[in-house]
Amino acid sequence: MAKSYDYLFKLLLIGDSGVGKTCVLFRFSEDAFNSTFISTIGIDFKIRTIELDGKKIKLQIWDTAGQERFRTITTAYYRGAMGIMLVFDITNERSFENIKTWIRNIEEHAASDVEKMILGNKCDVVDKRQVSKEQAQQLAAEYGVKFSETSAKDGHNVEEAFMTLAKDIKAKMDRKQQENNNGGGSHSSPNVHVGSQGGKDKKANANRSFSWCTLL
Amino acid sequence: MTDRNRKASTNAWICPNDRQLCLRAKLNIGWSYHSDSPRGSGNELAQNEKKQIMQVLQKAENLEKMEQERIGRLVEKLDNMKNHAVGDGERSCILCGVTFSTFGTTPTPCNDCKKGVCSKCGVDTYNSRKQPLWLCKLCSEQRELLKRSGAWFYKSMPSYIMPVKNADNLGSKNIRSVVIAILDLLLCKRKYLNYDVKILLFCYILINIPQTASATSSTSKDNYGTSLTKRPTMQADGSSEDETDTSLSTDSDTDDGSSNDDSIGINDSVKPRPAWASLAHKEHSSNSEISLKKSMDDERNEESSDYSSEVSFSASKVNPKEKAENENEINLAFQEFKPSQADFRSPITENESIDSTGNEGLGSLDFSVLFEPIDFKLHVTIIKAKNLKGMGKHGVDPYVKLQLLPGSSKSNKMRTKQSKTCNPEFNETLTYLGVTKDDIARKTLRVYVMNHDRFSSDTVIGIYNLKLKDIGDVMKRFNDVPLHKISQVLEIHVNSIERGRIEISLKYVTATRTLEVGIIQCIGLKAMDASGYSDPYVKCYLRPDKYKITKQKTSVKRRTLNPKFNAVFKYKYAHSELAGKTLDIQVWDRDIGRKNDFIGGVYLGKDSSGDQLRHWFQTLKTPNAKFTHFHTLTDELRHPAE
Ligand SMILES: Nc1nc2c(ncn2[C@@H]2O[C@H](COP(=O)(O)OP(=O)(O)OP(=O)(O)O)[C@@H](O)[C@H]2O)c(=O)[nH]1
Ligand SMILES: [Mg+2]
Ligand SMILES: [Zn+2]
Ligand SMILES: [Zn+2]
Repeated sequence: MAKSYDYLFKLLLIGDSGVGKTCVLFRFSEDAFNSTFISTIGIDFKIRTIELDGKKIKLQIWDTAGQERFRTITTAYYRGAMGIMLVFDITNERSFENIKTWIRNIEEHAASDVEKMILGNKCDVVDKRQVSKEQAQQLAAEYGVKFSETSAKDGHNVEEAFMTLAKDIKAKMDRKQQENNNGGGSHSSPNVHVGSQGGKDKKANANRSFSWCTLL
Repeated sequence: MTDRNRKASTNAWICPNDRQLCLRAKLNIGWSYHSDSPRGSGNELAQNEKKQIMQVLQKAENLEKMEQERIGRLVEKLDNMKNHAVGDGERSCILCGVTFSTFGTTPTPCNDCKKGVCSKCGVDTYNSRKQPLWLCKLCSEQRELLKRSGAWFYKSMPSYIMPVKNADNLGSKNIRSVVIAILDLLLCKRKYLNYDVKILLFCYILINIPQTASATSSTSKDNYGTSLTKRPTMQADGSSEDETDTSLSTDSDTDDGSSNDDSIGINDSVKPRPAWASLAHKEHSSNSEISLKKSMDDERNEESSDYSSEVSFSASKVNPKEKAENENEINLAFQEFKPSQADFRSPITENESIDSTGNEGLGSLDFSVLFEPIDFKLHVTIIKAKNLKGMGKHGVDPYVKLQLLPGSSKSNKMRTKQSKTCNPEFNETLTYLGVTKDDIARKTLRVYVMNHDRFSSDTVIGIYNLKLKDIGDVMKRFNDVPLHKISQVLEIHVNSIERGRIEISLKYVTATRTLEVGIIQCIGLKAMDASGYSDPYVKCYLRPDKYKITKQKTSVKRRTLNPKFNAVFKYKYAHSELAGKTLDIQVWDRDIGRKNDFIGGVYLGKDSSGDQLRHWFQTLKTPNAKFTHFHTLTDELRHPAE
């Protein structure tokens, strides 16, 4: 019998080829690192079960190929993702520029309320840094998403990043489920209302103050 | 008739192999890179790459199946709890039925259902704002199910597999041996019938066997159900996919160890419907021999007229164990396959497995359906219902309601008059206008037998789903079709379908002091017309707008859910003035002769939030630069009367 769990969260890693998506995931799932570059073919995934507030959460984390030629396959997986990690390489400015394109891809293909987070990977490589932390923070703030610098090599922040994303998803889940039940219903009603409008507004209100402040 | 056959053949028989189907199903959306790139271009995947991807998908499938079984167990648990709830929630505890009294047990109303519940049958919990919350066990379990199943995110129940009950196994095995014998017989007569067709046939026949005989095998492989597209798939109690598959693989000599593919659904992408699933959906017969024979006849007919195109492929597959064949198979699986946009959005439908679960004692229905392609009319005549299960304390007041799915609930529901008995005769014809062949090909007619309740909301006695692609253009009569239950947990709220997205560009030009609002396109708009489409146009205001002078409109795009507008609206305002304004962008469905329907809208201004606020702010912060973003439409309409 497989390990039991309370919730299944589906996460997705995207970003240019070579930024270290596979390595970050490998660090998180196996706590190991491999310095030879084996570019991902199409798509892969790893599983790890974590615990948050006493609940077991199984994370199914899809690792996508950054290479353009796999784009059609990888975008098919956006829709099912509850959380997406956008990864760039701090030693590669181009990969940072492309974060905007990746965000656009998300807007186009992912569920509208997907949680996002930006990772600046390879922060162990100090001498070849091309993207400053401030630059990245600025961009993340513009899009209203969290940002963290990670290193798959020495494990810096990797665990924390996935935990943060999972936490944000769980918080959203608890909030949504709460909102769905506002106003109640009866057992005889055949409908389960999911994603009610009233709920959305409340969420929007909560967001509002945050975004406006950070932007100004 | 011929037309219908041809349609069936082009749609149904191009997919030669269940593994390919399965794979396509999983690759699915966006899997179209072959379409515009010439063969041999750098885009093409190498053989070993394809294999590797397939392996990953296989792995994902196994996981997915486990997940579906897990959800199935949760659903079963909740259903059991509901079945065992005995009280009325007023004078007695909704769950255990203990009678309330002033000095004995006192009721506490459940926060969700508002029914009275005793202290033992309720749970003390907290809401997300950490305020205490009292729920009856049913409601708390229901809430938990939403989270555990992922329904909170996918906005409906994902596919799941109900736990297997053992009782049915024996009977179904006998049936299977009969079926295999028949297949062998058929094979003698059809030289070029290959493994794949054999499987198709097998499934087809299995599924056409009446329920009493084969509850087990009748689950119709509907596990392709997607959770992403929000299609709930309910497995019949006692269903066992594995059983069927095992027999499939032993029956055939082509087993490379992975023929279990088809038993597993996957969550991550949209699934096109496999050919045999649609074939399987023909009307049920009540006599087993007739139905077996009938399916064979049908099969032969379709075969004789349509297989020529299939032959070449079949011939090349004489020895399926050869490696080359394997590759061929993989290649085929990777060929372009594009489900229609509509399928992608379809939230419900495809409930074959519900259909095939047989009589649930809810009653049965006689009705007929006629499609007139020339007039674009679909007539549904509700003749009568029989042995309707009495519901509620106030007897039955049944009526029948129709809905075309996918489609928004408002614009495509129709109903009959109300009757007063358990065996009502309606003899009423309801006609859908503007129904196209395309609709027929992809839509499902859902017939609800409803019970009117004078004291509370009407309840569903049972439903029947009819895939319209099976009706052709002659009058089809359906007699004694069994009604099925809508699981309380399951039924999706049609209105929760997303309204779609809009791509907007914004630019403030300092030289001319003009805000340029580009309405580029919309994607995946909600269908407002019974036809499953909308005739969308976009209206734009810059508010506050006391004198309504800022209204601008695009042209109307006919019959589309993905209109490209490429329109630009200009507003001449000083930069400082704009800061206090809000762009009100509304997408409407033009209905000639009726009131136009509001599809959805988006507000961009300082009071918006998230993406909208960001977009607006970017634009003001950096004049003379163009910012383009997608926005999700919401149903909020702040100024309805314009
Ligand atoms: N120094 C250092 N190197 C890293 C780090 N993460 C990844 N690398 C190296 O970067 C290279 C690419 O890493 P991958 O994880 O395979 O890259 P990817 O993003 O998965 O690339 P694609 O699969 O092609 O999309 C490898 O040689 C890794 O060893 C890191 O944190 N620090
Ligand atoms: Mg990789
Ligand atoms: Zn009780
Ligand atoms: Zn309750």
